Amino acid sequence: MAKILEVSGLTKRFAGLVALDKVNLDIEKGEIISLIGPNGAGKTTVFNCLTGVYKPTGGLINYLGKPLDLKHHVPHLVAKLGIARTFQNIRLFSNMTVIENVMVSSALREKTSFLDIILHVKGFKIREDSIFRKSFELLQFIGLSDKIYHLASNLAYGEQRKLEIARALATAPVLLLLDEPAAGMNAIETKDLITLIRNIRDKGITVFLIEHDMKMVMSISDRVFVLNYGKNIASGVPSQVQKNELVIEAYLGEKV
Amino acid sequence: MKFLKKNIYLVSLLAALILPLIIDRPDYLSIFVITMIYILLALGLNIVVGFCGLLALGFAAFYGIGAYITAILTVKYGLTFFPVLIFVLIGNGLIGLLSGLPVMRLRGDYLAIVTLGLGEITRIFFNNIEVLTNGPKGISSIPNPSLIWISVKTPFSFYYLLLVFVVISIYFIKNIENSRIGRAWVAIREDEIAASSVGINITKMKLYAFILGSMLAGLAGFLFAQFQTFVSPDSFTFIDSALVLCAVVLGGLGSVPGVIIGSILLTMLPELLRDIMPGLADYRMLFFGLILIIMMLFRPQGIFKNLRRKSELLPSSEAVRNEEDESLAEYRRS
Repeated sequence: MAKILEVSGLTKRFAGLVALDKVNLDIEKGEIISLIGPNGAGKTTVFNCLTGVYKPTGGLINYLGKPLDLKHHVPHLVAKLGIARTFQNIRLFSNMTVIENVMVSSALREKTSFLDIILHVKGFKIREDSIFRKSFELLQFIGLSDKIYHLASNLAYGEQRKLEIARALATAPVLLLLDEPAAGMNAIETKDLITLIRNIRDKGITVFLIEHDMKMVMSISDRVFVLNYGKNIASGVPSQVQKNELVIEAYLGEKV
Repeated sequence: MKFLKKNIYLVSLLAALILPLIIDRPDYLSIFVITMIYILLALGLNIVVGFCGLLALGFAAFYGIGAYITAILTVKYGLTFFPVLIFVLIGNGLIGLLSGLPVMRLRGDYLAIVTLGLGEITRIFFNNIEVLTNGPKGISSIPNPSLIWISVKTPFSFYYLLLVFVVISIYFIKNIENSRIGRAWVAIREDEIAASSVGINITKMKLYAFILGSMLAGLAGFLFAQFQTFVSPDSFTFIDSALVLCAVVLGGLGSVPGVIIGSILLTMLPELLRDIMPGLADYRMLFFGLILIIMMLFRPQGIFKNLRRKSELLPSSEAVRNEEDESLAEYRRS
């Protein structure tokens, strides 16, 4: 199977604090992979390093078989390469409508030239329609198509999380990074989310998620990586990881 | 009513077209011309502050640069209307780009202070580079424009000239607003990190906003110089920047009809006051200040509330998100 992402020796230092210490990860095409660990283990830092919000201090990131140029590692170029993400603290464009939130990212794959835009030529209309249609279809897929003209900030919490996923999907990603998608959701919403993530995988998109809801992690993941204090402590299929001594220790503390 | 709502731009255009035929008094028409110059300025500043959320304070600098380019090229080099227009647009576009580059890393208060500084530097430059700008005396006897065969001299003809430029500008701005660029601007204003995560090149989009804003201000300066036939540093002070910002905030940040109404109110009200109570006109700055305070207290979104627009002037208090913003700043510095 083809490796989509191979991270080796990923290190991130913040002025003396080592947030990530030689982290290794590998993700194959079509997998659902979870990244777990206690609070402060460095999970979101991994995402930020992958997406260019942070520049890694060291290490290699191989994406689709090629190393990423870490000198020019910025979020908008990462998005273009096909890595999309959601955020732990919801970061929607709150005062834009639901459909506009998605249209902002759909535009990534539908470039219109500046001249087309100011003159509103026919080609512009066609592209704009196609952006709208694509965005609408995504909202149908995610289950928000009845609220496209609502303001994003007026959506319920669970719906906002879903909208973030739709917005990420609109960039037509190869790899989707979800940062605690189930946080704050009730049991029913979480169940829906699991179905949604599986549907996304069935579309051919590889999913890499950070999650605290262990029931969800164990039921959905093909493999699990565990971090503690910025270091890999375990990885493998869920049933293995669950029994791993180091993992139990990290979550529950040392045996007395 | 529904027809009016749907065709608000068309109805306003018709009204604007027949207005000089009803009120044919040169003094009133002059006020209308100045009003439209302010509309152009406010439309430009609205792109930067309203759409993109970049609080820029020295906007009169761009206005002044456009006016001075016009004055120098017409008086010293004898260029005519259209060549000067092209020089102003290119010149102001470049100035927008150059002043945009260093301030791209700044946000909020810091950006406001730096742009304020740039604005003052420009004014002092006008004052002191006498060879080019004739210093505090200014440049006088700027010729009225002559377009091919029509000579624009009277306030009446200036009115229609301005109207043409205002209409074209509104058309272009509306088109940009309803495109990927307009959406990207608002997305940047709402959340920079999220915007970059969906593939928006933030630096590029902010520069676009600066360049376009500067070009519109330059256009306003170009027309102002030829209407007044005189420019001096006094016309491009901080108060002028503040007035334009006032018009944008009063009308409604990010709303094109809003900033038009805002500019009309702020330029016409003092003149009306002058007619009704002559003594009060001296207190106009006081009135503007009061209006702004009242607006911020009771209707911070402006007269025309644009639903999808949030005022960047309202600070967000979410500590966690600010923390993440800090980390974004970290990556930009590195």
